[in-house]
Amino acid sequence: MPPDAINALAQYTVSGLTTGSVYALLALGYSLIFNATGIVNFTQGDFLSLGGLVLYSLLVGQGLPIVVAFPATIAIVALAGALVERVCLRPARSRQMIILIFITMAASTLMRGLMKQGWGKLPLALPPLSPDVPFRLMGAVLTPQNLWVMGMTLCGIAALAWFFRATVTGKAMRAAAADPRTARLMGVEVERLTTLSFAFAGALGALGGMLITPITSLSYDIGLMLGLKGFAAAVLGGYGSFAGAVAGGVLLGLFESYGAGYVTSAYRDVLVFGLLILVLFVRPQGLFGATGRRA
Amino acid sequence: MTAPGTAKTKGVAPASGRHPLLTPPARRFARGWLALAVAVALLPLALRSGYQFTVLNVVAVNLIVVTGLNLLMGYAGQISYGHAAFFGMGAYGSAILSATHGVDPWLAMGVSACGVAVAAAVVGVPTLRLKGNYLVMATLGFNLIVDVILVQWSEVTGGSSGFVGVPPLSVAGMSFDTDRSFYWLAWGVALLLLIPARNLVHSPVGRALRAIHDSEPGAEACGVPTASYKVQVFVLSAVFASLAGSLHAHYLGIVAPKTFDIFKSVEFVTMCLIGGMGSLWGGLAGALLLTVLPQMLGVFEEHHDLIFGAILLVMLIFMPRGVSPWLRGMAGRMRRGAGVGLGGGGAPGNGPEGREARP
Amino acid sequence: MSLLAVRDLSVAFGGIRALDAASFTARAGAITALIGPNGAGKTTLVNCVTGMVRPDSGNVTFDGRDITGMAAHRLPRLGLARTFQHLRVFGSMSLLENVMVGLHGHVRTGMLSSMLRLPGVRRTERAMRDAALQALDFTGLSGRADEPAGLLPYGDQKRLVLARALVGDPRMILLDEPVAGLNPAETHEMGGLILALRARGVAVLLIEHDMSLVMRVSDAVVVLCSGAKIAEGAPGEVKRNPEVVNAYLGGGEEFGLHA
Repeated sequence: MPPDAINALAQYTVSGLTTGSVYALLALGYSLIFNATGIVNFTQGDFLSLGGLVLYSLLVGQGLPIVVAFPATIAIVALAGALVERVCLRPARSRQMIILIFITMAASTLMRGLMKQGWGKLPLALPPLSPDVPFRLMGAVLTPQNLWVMGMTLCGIAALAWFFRATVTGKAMRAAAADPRTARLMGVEVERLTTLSFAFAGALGALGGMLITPITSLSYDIGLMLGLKGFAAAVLGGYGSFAGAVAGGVLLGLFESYGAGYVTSAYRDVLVFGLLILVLFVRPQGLFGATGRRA
Repeated sequence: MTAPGTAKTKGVAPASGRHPLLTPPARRFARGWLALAVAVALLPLALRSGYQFTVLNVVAVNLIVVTGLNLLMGYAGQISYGHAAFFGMGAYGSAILSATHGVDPWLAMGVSACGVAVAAAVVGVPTLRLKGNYLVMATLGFNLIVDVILVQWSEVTGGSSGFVGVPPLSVAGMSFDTDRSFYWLAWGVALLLLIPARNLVHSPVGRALRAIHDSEPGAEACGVPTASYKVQVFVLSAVFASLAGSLHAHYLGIVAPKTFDIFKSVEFVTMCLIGGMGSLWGGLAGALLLTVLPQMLGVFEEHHDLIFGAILLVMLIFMPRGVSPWLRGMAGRMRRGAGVGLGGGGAPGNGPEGREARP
Repeated sequence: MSLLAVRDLSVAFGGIRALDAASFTARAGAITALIGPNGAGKTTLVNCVTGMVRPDSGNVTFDGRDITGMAAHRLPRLGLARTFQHLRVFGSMSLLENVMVGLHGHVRTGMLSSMLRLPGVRRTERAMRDAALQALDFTGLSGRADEPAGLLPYGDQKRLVLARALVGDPRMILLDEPVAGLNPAETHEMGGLILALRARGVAVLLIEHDMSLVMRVSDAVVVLCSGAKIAEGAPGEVKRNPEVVNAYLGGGEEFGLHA
């Protein structure tokens, strides 16, 4: 291959892995909530927007140092996630799946409205986590933010994996996801864990938002399309599977980046969602989903 | 217990006439339909501005989509977040055929509907095998794809700024190009299309669709070809959406991709939900409420999302079955009170209720 | 004369052999019970016969016709109806409507003719209604025809699904655990209904754990163990078959205790 082609390939790979990381974080959020409630939560993308916006306010507005602002943002958006569950879903009079899904859609509209009130409609500029000095690696131009995205995503996934394997609460959450009735009989407080799942989903969204918005742009509705792609990643990997969510996110990010680079940039979303639909036709349970799972 | 062999059932036996044949709901529907027709005929007397006609015209167009979508979602229990795509394909099909290729608008409308039927069948056959969140994603994805194509294929569709110069529909030299004249056309079509929808609901096929909603294996074991019925009702609802889209295009003379994005699909589903799924009259209530309400909120342009989201949220949390049970109760009270059949409250068919999020 | 014939049916799920060359026949107009310890492959066999699972090898014939892998919705029209262990009642619909759906395999109205409400549709509807009422009468539920099925007590729901299966006048009904979860009185009543079916000339393939019921009503018993048939014959013979006793004892289940 000529050097230019190798450079281009490397560049596409880097950008695919970067957005793929964020899709993976979002997909994990979707899977967490699916395992806890059986529904798809359409506020996941708004958690991402909110993460970026809160970090902006804490950094730029309050002048807090990043080491304080970063965890504080995660905590705040996690709280918002818990609120969505407690205020919108818990009091719902219906347990019908389509109603619950729609409640999350309405909550998403409301959240966007609130964020538009709070931060306005104009795009904001969130500074990257470390000074923006591009460097070359194997022909691709990288910014430190690219590394931050991938590194922090790995940390997030590792922390989540540790939580589910090593802590009592994490094990209880896995048990509740596998069989809520039995888990309840064994003394697991399933309701509390559902709220916790939403808080985690909020935290994952916030993490994605803080990492990606310095690269894309920051506005109240930035999470819309990203949220849908995260949903697509979760479905691609097999809804509810954590490994599937991560794999689905990375695959979707790479596919989108190569597709936009080599095939067509204008129709990149057609490629992404077309691929997704094709995969579903061949494997209705997603790439890594087990058959017979509740979906 | 009955003694063995006393009640020999022979497949399809001759009439015994002990139970009246589904007449009360049929009569209720006829009364409601007439009441609506009279209301539609008399309303122009009370309307003053062209703007009020515009809003009602949009209600009629939305009602057509919602009627079809209700058959799919309320009766057969299949979710679609992609009907704005069919709405858009009908609109753009009509626009491109009539404006670019000079086809008669009525013919353009029919050809577009046929095209949409084929497209819906192609999409529906694999998609409707999917369940739950996968079906949600597949239909959303389809809508996103159509949306991107409408924007990007600009030499044909006019791109993101839209397609202008769609000729109006006309009959015998009279063209439906004003708010007032289109009012009669839109509501005429909407009223007309309610009849086959109602007939379907009260037929063996309609019952089979509800059976699919309640238990797919159960329906299949009863001899219902579930896969084929799901696709057929999907195609039917897509054709309703396409016809509405064509009306929309010929009425406004301009179509823009923004009108056919996933938010429009969500809006259609919301109309079904707010009205009350599995109730054709609920669909009317939903279309009316969700068309008029945002128009009123238009005053608060900046706060639209906030107010709309809050109202929707509160309604979904506290009135998950929509307004139709409430309407039914009110109609019942009025009937008893005045001895007059207002009819509007009689919902055709019992809306399927209470399917749980967790199996 | 055998109405249903299962020949050398084998199915494996990911390396586990659920059925291993299972064969048996069921006569027309007779009650054939299919029994076996848990995990014997009864469910898989039922799923193969009713078009839910396609076997890896072997075939199923009904009334001389190969129905292996045939779509489930085509079977009622051929005269093979079924009930489910998990009922699958249409909860939002009335009892009458539930049973009317049971006739769907026999109606020939499409979506288009239904929308136009052609006279044929109305006639069909009336005929379906009468047949459904008779089927409800047979199961003793006609007095509650217009009640919502979802609110019916469990025992009555079991009779409802039976009415739904028999309304199309099938030649054979496959009953999947018809008395599971019923109290002794209801079980006895269901046994009477099953015998009444036979009196009407309907063959029954009975999948059941309740041995006293099996011994009471069956004309023939087929015993399945580890995916293969280990015994077949009259109830009395099968009960004394040492291999059968062993299979049940080995499986930790009590066989013939109430028989």
